[in-house]
Amino acid sequence: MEQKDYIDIDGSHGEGGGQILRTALALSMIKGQPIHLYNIRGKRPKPGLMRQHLTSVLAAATVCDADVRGAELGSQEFWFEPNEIQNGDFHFSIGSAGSTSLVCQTILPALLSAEGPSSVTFEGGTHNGMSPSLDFLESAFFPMLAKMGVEYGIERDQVGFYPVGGGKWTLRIWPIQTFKPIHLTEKPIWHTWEGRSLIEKSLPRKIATRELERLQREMTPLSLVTEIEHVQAKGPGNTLHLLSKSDTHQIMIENTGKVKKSAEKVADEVANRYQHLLKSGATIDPYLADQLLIYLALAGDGTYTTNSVTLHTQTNIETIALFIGSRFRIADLQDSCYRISYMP
Amino acid sequence: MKTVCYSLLGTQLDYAGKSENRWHKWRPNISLCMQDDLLINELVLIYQEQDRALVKQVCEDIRTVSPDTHVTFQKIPFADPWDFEEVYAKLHQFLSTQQFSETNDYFINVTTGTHVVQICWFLLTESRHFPGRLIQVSPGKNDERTKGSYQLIDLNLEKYDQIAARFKADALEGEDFLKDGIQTQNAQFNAMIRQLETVAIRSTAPILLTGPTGAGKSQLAKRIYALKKQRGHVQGQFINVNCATLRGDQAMSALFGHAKGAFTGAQQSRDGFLKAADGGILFLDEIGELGLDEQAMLLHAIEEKSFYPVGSDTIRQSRFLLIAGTNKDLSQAAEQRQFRDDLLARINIWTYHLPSLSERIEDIEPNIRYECKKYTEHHGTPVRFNAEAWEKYDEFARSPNTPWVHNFRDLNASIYRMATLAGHQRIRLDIVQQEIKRLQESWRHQGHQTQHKQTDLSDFIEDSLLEEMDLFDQGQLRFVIERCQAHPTAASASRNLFQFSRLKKSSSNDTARLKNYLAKYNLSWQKIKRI
Repeated sequence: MEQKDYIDIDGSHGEGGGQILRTALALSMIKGQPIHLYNIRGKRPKPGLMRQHLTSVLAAATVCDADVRGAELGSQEFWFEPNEIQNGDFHFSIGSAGSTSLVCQTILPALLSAEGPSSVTFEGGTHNGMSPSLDFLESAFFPMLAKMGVEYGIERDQVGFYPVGGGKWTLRIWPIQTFKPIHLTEKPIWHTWEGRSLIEKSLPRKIATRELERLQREMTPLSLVTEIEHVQAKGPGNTLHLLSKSDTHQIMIENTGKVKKSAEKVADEVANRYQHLLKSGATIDPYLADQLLIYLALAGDGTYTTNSVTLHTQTNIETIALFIGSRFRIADLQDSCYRISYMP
Repeated sequence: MKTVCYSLLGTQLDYAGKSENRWHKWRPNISLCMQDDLLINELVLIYQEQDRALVKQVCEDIRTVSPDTHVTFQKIPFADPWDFEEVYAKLHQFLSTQQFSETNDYFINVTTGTHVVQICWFLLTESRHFPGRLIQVSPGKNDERTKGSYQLIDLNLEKYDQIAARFKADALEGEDFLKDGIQTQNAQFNAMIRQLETVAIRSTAPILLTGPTGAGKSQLAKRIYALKKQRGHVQGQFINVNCATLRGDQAMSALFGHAKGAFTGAQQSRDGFLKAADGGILFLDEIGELGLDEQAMLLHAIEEKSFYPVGSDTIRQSRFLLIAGTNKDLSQAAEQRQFRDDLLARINIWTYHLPSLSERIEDIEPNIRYECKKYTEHHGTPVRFNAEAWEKYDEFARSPNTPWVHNFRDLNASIYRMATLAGHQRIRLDIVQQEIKRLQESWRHQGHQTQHKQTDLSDFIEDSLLEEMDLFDQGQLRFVIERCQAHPTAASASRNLFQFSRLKKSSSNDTARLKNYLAKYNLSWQKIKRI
């Protein structure tokens, strides 16, 4: 492998959190590009690598047999020099209910460009409220990747809520040669809505019923299919998910129940976010838009619309540009609708 | 490096039943293992026989929240956990069986156990039987309840600036602070300190300290740092570098750091002293020994507040106050192109000359008292002379024939030796006599005369001139020559010779005065030094 120079990446740039770290690691792995990250999570109250970030770095290092220096708990800079990506069976456990979906996000692009299929078992948090839940991955993120040609399978053993964690799931993934570009710009015709409340057994069922009743009231005249899922988990927790399907794709809006936050408020926030998306005529929500950026770049082409462009998205685009040039375009289409496209 | 934590199993606090509901409760040992920015690699759980089942449960739950934590068990039975003597003895005994490695980070969780257990942990940690810190966990609010938060408590009081500053005899202010409370008498020295205090507080420009070895440059630099730190002018560290120890290829990377792979053997990147001094003070002692390349880089770093580590094209920032020390005549070195004149100009803004000890005879006594006090603080033994011993030592110390070659370094070592030999008793005459002999011998080995030997003037001036000289003039010239021989530079010799008259003049050129005097006898500074 040819010797490449390290590129220096300022982790305090823009949104200045963990996303820079994950996007940089993902691209470093597939491009075989050594990176030096500094000022890691520079804009967070506790900067540096927390346990879940450290797990991401170490997971990435395992997948591509990287040489890593300086990656320790709390460290604000490290060097990462990737080698060949290996497929196979992996097992990653994250302490302190760290998000398994974020570790997944870090290593997924690499596994998609590996030589053969992989199976990855994740243990830790699956529904921690600060990152996409396992439900979101299953119902919105992976279905979108499937549209791009990705083959995958998910087995869900146990959910893990914040702050206890203890969740477990397995992802099977097959490599892909070329991604099929997606073009989602037409105002979608939504036809199905499902409300699902996930609630851990030790909590009163009433919470879930109240959430779903309120969600239905707020969504009227649209009609919801509702479901309460009683789950076995190590620690208590509750999440509310709204799945919306159109002819072309499906999206999910989710929210987390909290102590001292009424079930109604949890439902109202979900409904508001969905209403906002609906009114804008955009095709996907800002969270999904954010997570798909890297795949747009890998496909070398693609377009979608969303109802908000956050600093998070901007920073993500700028991080990707460090590796493959800046070919993203964002167009303001008025009425809170933005078109994000990647120029071939 | 591993993080190892010792913790008592909380019979009540860690107990929450077997149902899944136990996850609603805050449990200290579980909470300890749930922290985002703290990973306990090894948790040593100390338990009682009757809690066997609870240990298993807690261990299992820790595996859930922190798969990377390895839990080990230690049974320590307490007949009465409120019995101080028993608890202390058992914990002490337990810790003494532990192998502590310097590369590990150690904690004791004081959240669980009786108050007596906590007190014992405090005592064992404070007395350094346990080489680590205390950790306390507490429950959080709402959703964070089970996770909670933690607090580290370091019982090493030196690490707390405010406490340490309070210990430092509350009242030490400004000048006194710089002198570390020594009541110096030397007018010239006191005037210098008075100005330096103002400069240290108001200026951020480099400070240059000159003076012979052991005159206290490094000590003074440290005091400037302590003063600025006390006043909140610096937050960073005090980095003390002796440039004479930086030689060859290592010098650049030691100062400016290097990137990984910058040269053979550079397997790790290194930050360097300049980066380490960021926000603090960098004291470069013997700056005249620095190579020309390093000087150029340093100048750039002072002016731009940034520099490039060796082999790296990533610019590093560092804001530090530079204090330079030297026993060389830097202007002379600059003329001979051994020192960059632009760097000299940059650091020569506030220059202070520290006189040698023999030039500050009136300060010897307060400094002896200071050294005795310091010895007492460190060793807990009071240092006192008996009357005749003091008389003898004082006379010797002040004598113009005592060269104090290494200045305060000699004085410090001398007091240390006598205090050690005296043990808990007063320093006696025989100890002083022994000490004087030892000092004289060590100076003789290094080529310095201590016993007064009549200088032969015929070695210096022509016999024809000597034959016509009054004894009065011969005596004066002999004394001047001896002084010149004892001092490294003409400037310091003349400061010593004209110690009072120079203070009365608005501008004095003592060196010229000395040179003119010598010229009368066809003598020059260089000539004396040659002979």
